Amino acid sequence: MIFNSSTPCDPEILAQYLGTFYADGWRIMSMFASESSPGATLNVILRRGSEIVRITSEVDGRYPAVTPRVPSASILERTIWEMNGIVPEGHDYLVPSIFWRKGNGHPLQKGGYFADGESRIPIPKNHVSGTGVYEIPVGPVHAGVIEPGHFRFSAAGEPILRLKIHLGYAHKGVEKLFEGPVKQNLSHLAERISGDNAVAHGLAYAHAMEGDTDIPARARYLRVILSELERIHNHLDVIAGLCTDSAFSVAAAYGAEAREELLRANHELFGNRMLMGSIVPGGVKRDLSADQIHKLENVVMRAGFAAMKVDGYMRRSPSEVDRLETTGVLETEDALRLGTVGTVARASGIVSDVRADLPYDAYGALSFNTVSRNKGDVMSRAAVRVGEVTESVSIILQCITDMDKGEIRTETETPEGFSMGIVESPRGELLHCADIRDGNIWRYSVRDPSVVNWPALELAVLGNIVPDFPLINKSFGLSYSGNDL
Amino acid sequence: MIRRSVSNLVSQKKPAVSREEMHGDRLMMPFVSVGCRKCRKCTEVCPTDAIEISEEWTVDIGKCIFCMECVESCPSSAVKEVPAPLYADRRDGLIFGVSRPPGESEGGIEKSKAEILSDSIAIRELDTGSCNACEVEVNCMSNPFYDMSRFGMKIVASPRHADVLLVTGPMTRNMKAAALETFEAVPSPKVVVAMGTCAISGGIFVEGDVFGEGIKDTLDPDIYIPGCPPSPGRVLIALLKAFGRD
Repeated sequence: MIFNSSTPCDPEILAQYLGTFYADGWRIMSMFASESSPGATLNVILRRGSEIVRITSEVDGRYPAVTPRVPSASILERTIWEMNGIVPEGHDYLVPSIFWRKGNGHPLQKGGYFADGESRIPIPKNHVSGTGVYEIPVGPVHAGVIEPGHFRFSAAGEPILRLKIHLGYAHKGVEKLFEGPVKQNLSHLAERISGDNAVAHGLAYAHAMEGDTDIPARARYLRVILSELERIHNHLDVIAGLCTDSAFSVAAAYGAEAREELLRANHELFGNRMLMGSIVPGGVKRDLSADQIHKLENVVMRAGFAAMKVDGYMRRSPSEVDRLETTGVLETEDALRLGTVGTVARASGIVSDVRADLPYDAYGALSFNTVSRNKGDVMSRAAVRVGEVTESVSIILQCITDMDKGEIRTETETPEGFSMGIVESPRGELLHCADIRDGNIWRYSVRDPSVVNWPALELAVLGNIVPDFPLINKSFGLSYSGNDL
Repeated sequence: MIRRSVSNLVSQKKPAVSREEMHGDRLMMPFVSVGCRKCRKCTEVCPTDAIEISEEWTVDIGKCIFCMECVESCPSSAVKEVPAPLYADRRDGLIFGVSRPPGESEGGIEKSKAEILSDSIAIRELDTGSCNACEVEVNCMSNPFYDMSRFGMKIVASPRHADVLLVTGPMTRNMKAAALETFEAVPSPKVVVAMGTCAISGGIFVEGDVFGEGIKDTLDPDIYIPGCPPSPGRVLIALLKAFGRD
């Protein structure tokens, strides 16, 4: 989607300006700096329902921080400070977010970053004191098979008093790798930003790169099918994971089995278990034959029933319900304040879904419900996921019915200027922005839904017991690699 | 009635896949035996520079992400898909050309180590910044289909309980110190396994903020398992074979 229009704003009044937007119910989707000479351009993308606004501000090394007026900007401003060396003055928690090292220059500056004499910035302590208060550092290498991250709990007895999450161990410099001629197809790199959300990232990249090219109808439906297959397997993983983490082995085994069946079907139908390599700018790579569509129909129905079956097991077990209900509550007010997105937001009563608000590909022609709950606890997040699996099955079946034969790929021309790709990944609203100048990607920015949802996890665990943390973490189901980039 | 039909749809039998089925789980890699006209189209489209053409056409499946762009782009259809080997015990054992075509994996973990570790293998997974796809597959190794515990393998919570360090990811600079400490914490004799393209060569992230080319510049892998990501069945069979148990 080409998005060249922007509202310029003086950096000195940027905070007040964004504050008025925030008061009007707008949410900051993303905020990043794109270097220019001299100084840099701050890009702020705001969304309210189906309206999107881009505000640009020319800054020179410093500007008054937005965070005091718009709390959800905190993590984004920390990243700008760390990666571009632009100081948000008056920010109350200026701690590195993903890079954690100090050398010469900053990683996203055009002049480059030089590692000579580099030192690692120590992770701050939690500063909670009192009788019987102790700190539990966890990670980056965890007990389970998960990605690296560092968590610091302050606890008194069992309940958690404070949690600070420090990520960045999976930082690979992905945004910098995107910079270069637009002609090269980087969809393989985009898919590997977060391997379990390969379709969503591949699709966001394709949307950013294909401008306003008309995509063939069949390709649009196939893209929807791919996205929903990915959503089902991610949701099944979280539902099964919740059962594993609460030692409910029977349901966990059923969930894991259903997911494996789906991954195997993915391999059979699209040649890759994670559906990698399916989406390219201009369409999709593989078409489905009539036999394959029949197989697909069967597979998604089974996956849908399996989700309902696991859900039934969970609801019929009083000890499981006791474990999940009222655990890890994220209040609606906090979810709004922190600008959370996706399943996390929908479980806390915020009805927002890119597929419904800003329909892309074939979503505009399909009918589906946005599933939401109000309580914001682990059970609500599980319920939202189960509901979304059912909706996804319905969406895929609609696609199969509506899809006509035809082309699946077309030539695209990448536009100059600013373009975006916004999709609803299984984790929530995902945004890719490309600043293209003279046939080169000058700056590529990725805002995974995890970036804005991680800070909400710090709030949701407060007052819960430490052994419930894995459960709450799993119910959020966030990406480390997508956050660290 | 409805409940019965639903429960029939969700399988009732034990789904575990046999060793034979896991052996049949093939990974296709690009390969040229005849017909290459050295037009270099494949080297241009390869996102990880896995293909080299000098005297002969060679492919390094330690770098390959198995996207098959080369197969699609070859104007003379010389690049074909052939089954890839399960693993290699040396880094250069993953480079293939006409003079060294891909075949069965040979060698494995040093005999002395494999004998001490015996039939019970405790695995600690170490993510050095992977994209999470490898973690998904490692998690799948213990689902009802693959059920790794039937082979005497299990995932342990601490490196101090581990025999095998199963390493994924391109070794980001931020993760290097923690990875070395984890390696130190594993009691000897220890086996290091590089799983997936990133761990073997840095893969698609090799130009990024990572240390060296894959984990071999930090840790010393005993075996390399190619794939992006390798499927759970292949990892299990590769481990069994490398330990001389298949």
